[in-house]
Amino acid sequence: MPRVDHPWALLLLAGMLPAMLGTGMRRQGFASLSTVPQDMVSAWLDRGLRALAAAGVAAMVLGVAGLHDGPLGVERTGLGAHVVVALDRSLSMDEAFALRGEKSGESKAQAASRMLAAFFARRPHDSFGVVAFSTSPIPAMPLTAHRDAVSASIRAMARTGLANTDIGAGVSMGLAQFDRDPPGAARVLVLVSDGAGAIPEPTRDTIRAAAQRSGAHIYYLYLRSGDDPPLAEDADDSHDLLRPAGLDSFFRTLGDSYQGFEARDAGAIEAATRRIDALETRPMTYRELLPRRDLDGLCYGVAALCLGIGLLAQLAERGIPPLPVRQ
Amino acid sequence: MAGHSRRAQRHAVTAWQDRGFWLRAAALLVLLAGLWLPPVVVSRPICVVTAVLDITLSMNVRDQILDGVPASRIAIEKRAARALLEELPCGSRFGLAVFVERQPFLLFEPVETCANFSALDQEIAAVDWRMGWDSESHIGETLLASLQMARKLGSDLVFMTDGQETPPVSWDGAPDFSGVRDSVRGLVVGVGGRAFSPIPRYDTYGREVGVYRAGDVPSETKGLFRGREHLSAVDEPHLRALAAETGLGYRHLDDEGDLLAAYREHASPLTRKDRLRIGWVAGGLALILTLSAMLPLRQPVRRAPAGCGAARRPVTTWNFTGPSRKAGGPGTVPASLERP
Repeated sequence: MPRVDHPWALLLLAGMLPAMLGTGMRRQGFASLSTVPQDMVSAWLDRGLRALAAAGVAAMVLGVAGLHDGPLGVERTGLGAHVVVALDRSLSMDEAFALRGEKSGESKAQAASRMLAAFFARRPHDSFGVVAFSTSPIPAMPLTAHRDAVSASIRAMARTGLANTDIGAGVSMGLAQFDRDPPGAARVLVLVSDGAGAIPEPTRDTIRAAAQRSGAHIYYLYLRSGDDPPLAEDADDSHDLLRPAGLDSFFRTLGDSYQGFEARDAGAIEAATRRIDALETRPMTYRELLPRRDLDGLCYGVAALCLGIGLLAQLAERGIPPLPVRQ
Repeated sequence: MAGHSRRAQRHAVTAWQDRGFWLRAAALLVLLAGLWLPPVVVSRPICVVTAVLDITLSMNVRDQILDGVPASRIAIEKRAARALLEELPCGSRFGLAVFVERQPFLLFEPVETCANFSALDQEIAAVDWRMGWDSESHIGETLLASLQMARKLGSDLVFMTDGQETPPVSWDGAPDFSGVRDSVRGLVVGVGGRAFSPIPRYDTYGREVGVYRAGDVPSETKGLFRGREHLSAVDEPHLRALAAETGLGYRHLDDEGDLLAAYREHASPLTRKDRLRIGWVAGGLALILTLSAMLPLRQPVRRAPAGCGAARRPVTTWNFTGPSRKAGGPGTVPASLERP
């Protein structure tokens, strides 16, 4: 639906009235109308010219009032989800991915930020939220469809880390982001961390409740470097929540949709995000904002056309006389 | 027939002599000029700024008034950050960081304000002291780290704090700012009352449990012990000294006037090219010309050359009187009217 910037300017549409009344054509008097033969062509031409003049005025008024289309939110259906990324920002994330002595230039935080940015770019219809956590959870960007803002927040996560890790607080803050999220969309929590940690029982209860309430699919992306314990361990160790395997088995109790990934380098993060990408392909309705399209140029073009035809009619009626030359 | 043509020409106002014709023609020219002339490009001032908000414990002091009720310093600085975000001209970019201890934590890099307003606004609203990861607050060192961060981001800095150093700043004094001095523009903004107030205390679960008392707050042995570390007031001399040392401006939030105006005095002069919308000027002019071409509303009636009196209701007829036209064709004046 086209809209105008200055509705008050539409009052100028009253100018259509004089355009209807007088066309600028010569008015010719006759003694009696009965002497003039009925002439349908002339009569309709006259009405047409009046309408044309009025249309020209209307087009100019609409142009001045700032006629435009949008910005418009359009409901579309596509593949997408509401994704919250919970990112470990503790000091250990500043270390490089070290494959047994091998050195790489990129820290875990930088690699994670870069891969998440790529993941985000591959999913144009998703709403994203960013939660950082170290000793305390820090919501860095609320769940939003403003993509530039999300990109700016993901980029900011590549910076130097802070203090310790409280993974439980990070997960529950991440799930809490879905509390104000309207229902309907698939929900995904991507947890990125280079370790695990003790989650106290009350926090575990909170997480269980929030996971059930939101119905979010949880993915745990474990950045393993050096001699870190693996994600898949023997049953003996799997209940030790301080180890990633323990966290992994805790998440398994939350739902079947959970998946854990172990990444030993940037390439493995990439593979894991692509796997998540492939898993989260449910249709959802999303709003797309069409940009504003100004229509004032079109208005002025139409007005110019109307005026031009009117002028030609005036010339046709009177003929093109020679320019007045002094004799 | 020929006689009529000559007479008609003598009586008729030709198109060249008609005011309305010229006004319409002028309107058409103005419209076409407006459509074809290249757009006017102007430079508009914009800002690229990163706001760093203090969320240390002393910022919980409720010595401020917001909407008539007591409010914490954090609430006031959030409102100031929001006002700044709102007032920045479109095309400006705004980033946000919070700090405790020695380090600013960047929540998002500077990003365009108008298109992303609701997301940025919600994030400012979400800022809370519970984001803090430490109970210490080293203002000087954080300012140094913030300046380095802003320089890397290519942004100005608006650094909001009450200036309370916990533990108190040692005799070693402020950090060495020589590496960043004058390399970043911006403002240090003082937040908080000038009278000392008690600092609220929270337990592990974030519940408020009274206030800090003397002896609760550690005072560094090297520090300048003043005996009032458990109380808090905005430390303006300290903040002014830091601002002078780093080449930033200083302002207190309670000071008269607009924060944006104060920041603008110390902001980097950036501009953005913008297409000026002037289509309405041409359109409006053309509209005025067209409407005035219609005046007077009742055109004078030209009597028929026959001179047999004016018709009561004049009509427009199509008088294609030309030598090649056959009399009696559609729209021609009946031959009987030609002569008296």
